[in-house]
Amino acid sequence: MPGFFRHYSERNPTNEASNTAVVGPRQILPCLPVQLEPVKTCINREGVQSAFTVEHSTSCEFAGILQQYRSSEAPTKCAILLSESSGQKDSMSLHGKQRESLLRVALLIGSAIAGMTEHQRGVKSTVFRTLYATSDDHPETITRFSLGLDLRKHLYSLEKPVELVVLWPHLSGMSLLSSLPNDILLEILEDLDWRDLIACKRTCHRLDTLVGTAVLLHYTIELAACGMLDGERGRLTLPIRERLDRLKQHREAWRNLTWTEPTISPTSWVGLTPPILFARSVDNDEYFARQPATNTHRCTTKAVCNSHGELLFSIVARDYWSIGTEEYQSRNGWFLNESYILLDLFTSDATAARPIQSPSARCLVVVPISLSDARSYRFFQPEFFQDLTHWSHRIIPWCTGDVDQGYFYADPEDRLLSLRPSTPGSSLSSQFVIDIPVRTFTEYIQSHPEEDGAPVVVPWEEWGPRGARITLETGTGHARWPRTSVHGMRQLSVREDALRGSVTVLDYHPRRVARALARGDAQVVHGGSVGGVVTLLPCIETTVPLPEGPARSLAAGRMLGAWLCKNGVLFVEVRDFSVAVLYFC
Amino acid sequence: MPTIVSVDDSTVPGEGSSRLLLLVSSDNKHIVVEEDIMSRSRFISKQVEGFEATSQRHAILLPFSSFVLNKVIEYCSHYRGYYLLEDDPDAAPPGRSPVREWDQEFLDVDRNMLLRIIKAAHYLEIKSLVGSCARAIADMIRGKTTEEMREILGVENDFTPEEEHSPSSKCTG
Repeated sequence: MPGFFRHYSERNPTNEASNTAVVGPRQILPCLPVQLEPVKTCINREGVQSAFTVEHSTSCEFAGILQQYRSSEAPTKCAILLSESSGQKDSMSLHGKQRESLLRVALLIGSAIAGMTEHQRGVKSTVFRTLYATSDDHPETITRFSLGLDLRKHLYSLEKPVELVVLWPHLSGMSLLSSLPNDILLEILEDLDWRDLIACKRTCHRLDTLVGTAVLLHYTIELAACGMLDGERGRLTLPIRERLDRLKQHREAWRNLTWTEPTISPTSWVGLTPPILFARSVDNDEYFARQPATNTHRCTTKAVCNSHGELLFSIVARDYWSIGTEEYQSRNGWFLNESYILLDLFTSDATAARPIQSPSARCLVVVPISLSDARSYRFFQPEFFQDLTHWSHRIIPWCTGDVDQGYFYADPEDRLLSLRPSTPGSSLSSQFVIDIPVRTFTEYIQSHPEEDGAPVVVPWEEWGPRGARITLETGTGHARWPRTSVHGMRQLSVREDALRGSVTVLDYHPRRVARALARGDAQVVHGGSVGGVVTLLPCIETTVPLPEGPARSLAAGRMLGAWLCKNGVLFVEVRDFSVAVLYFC
Repeated sequence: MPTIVSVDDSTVPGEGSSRLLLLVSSDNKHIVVEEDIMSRSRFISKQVEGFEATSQRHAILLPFSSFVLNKVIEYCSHYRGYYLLEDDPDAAPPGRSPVREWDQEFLDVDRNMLLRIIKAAHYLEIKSLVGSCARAIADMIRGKTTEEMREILGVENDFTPEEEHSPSSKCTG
C-alpha cells in the first residue's frame, strides 16, 4: 500500500488528468480485503464529534468498511470526511456513476489509512479533509479532485498519523426527504394543514409512518376528520396528547350517543327575552342564542348571528331588506360568512302584510353584505315547492357555529341550514325539511366568482340535488316549543312517539360521513326525496330514546326546548328556568 | 478532538484576548467570526465551553461549504444580541415558531440552498433558523398534490398498488 501511494506522490500534482487515469477500481479494490456488512451507525456523533450517522443502505457498505478499519488496531480513530461539494450542484444530485466514484475514493482513502498507520502511530493527530467538486457533467471530478490535490498532498506531507472524521452527508439521500432527519421533517410537517398531511402520508412509507405516529400531526388530522378546530383554551392548558384523547372521546360519544348523568347547570344566566332565548353555561363552554318558534306568526324581532354563532344584532320589525336597487321581502336572514347574507324569500304566508308577487321570490337569495362590488345569487327551490302557495319557512334552527372556546370547537364554516316550509295555522303532523350545509352556497359562490351585474340565477338542479337533502319529517309537528335544533353540521329533532319520545341526530358533516362510510356503518342515509324531488346528500342518522328526566318533563308538558350543542343536548324545562344539560360524553 | 484541526497558535487569532473563532468550511475556507455572533449556535457554544475547559482553542471544522456557512453567519449577525425564544435552551419550547419577515426574505433562495441551510442550522443547533427554514419548506409543499410532493421531496412511491388503494388514512375527506 505505501508503494501504491508513493506512485502518486511521484507524479506531478498539477497533472490531474493523468491521476484520474490511474485511479480505477482495479488498482484499488484488490488492496482492500474488506467484508461488507450492513452497519447502521458508522461513527456516531458522540464517538467522533461532527460525524454523521449513517442510516441509509447505500452508505452501509461504506460504513462496513470503516467499521473494519476502526476495529483493526491500526488507527486510533479513522474516519473520512466526505464533505459536501463546493461545486455548483450539491452532492444530493449525485447518482449512478458519481456515487461509484465517491465510493471508490472512499475505498482508496481507507486503504491509505491502513497503509499509513503502521509507522505513523502515536504522533499528534490531525485531520485531513477530502474535497469533492461534484457535478452531473463531470462525474470524475470527485476522484480527480480529491486524489489529485487533497489526498495526495496530505497523505504524503503528513508526518503525523491521521485522524479522520467521516462525514457522510446524504450521499444515499439524493432527495430532500431522505437527507433530513425526522425531527426536521416533523418541524416542516407541523406547519401544514390536514389536507397537506394526508397528501404527505400518501407519498411514501416513511412519511406515512411519521405522520401517523407524531401526536401533533395525528391531532391535526383527527380534528379535521371530526370537523373541529383547535381551541385557544386547549392550546394554553392541555398537552396535545390529552387533547387528542379528549377529541377521540368526543368523537366516540357522538358516534354512540349514550346519555350521561345530567349536568344541571346552576343557571349562570338564562334569559327568556321573548322571542329569543339565550343560555350560557357556567364555564362559558357553551353558548346558545336562538329564537324558539313562538306561536305568533308575525314575529317582529329577529336576531342575526355571525358565522361564529355570536349574536350580532336584532332586526326589529323589518320586513324589507333593501339591497341596492332590489328590494326583498324577507323575515329571515343568516350570515353565511363575513361577506354574504342569506335571505329566505319563501315567506308568502297568508298573514303577511305584503304577499310576495314576484315568482323570483321563491328562492333563497344570497346577497353580499358590502353592496358596492358584488352581485347576488338566487338559489331556486324545486318546482314542487313553487306550486305550494301557502307555505312559509318556519325558521327553526339558528344557523349556529361555535365560538373559539373550549379545547376544540366546531368549524364555523361548516354549519347546517334547516328549513321547514310549513303552513301557518295548520296542524300537520308531518312537514318538509330541507337541510342545506352552508358550504353548498359558499362553495358555489366561490366557484362562480362574482362580477357586477344582474343577480345570478341558480336553478335547483344545479345546486339542490347534491347540496341539499329534502325529507318528510313526522312526529315533530307544530308545537309550542321547538323540536328541532342545529349545531354545526348536526341536526336534532325530538319526537313524541310511543311512550317516551326519542331524539334523532342527523350528522351532515362530509368527513364524518366519509368516515362512517369507510367503516361501513349502516346508519348512513343517502339523500331523500319528497314528491318527486330527489336529493342525494348523505348523512348519518342516529336515533336514541330520550333520557328519563326530559322524557318525564315532555310527558308533563314542561319542556321548553331541546337544543343541540357541542357536547350534547340541552333540555330546558319550564320549571324555574333551570337548565339541565345532558351530555353525551 | 477529532473534528478539530489542531492548528498552530499563529493561526488562531488572538487566543484568549479577543474572542474570535476560526471556522473551517468543507471547501477549506477559513472564516473568522466573533464568538459572540455564533453564540446562537448551541453546537458552537458547546465547542467554546470545551475550549474553556481545556484552555485550548481550535479551529472548528464544519461539514458544509463556505457559501452556506456565510449565509448562516449572516443570519447570526443579523440577530446578534437579539433574544429569540426558540434559541433559549432554558426556555420552554414555544411550539410553532413565529414568522419573522426578515427571515422570509433571507430564505428566499432555491430549494437546494434552503436544504443546505436547514441542515447547517440543524448541525449547528440554531433552532430559530431551523424553524424558519422548516416554514419555508412547508410553504413549498403546501397545497400540492401527492404527486407534486413526491417531486418536490424527491421521494419514490414505495407503496404497493394494494396499499395505495386501500383506505389506509382515516380521513378520507
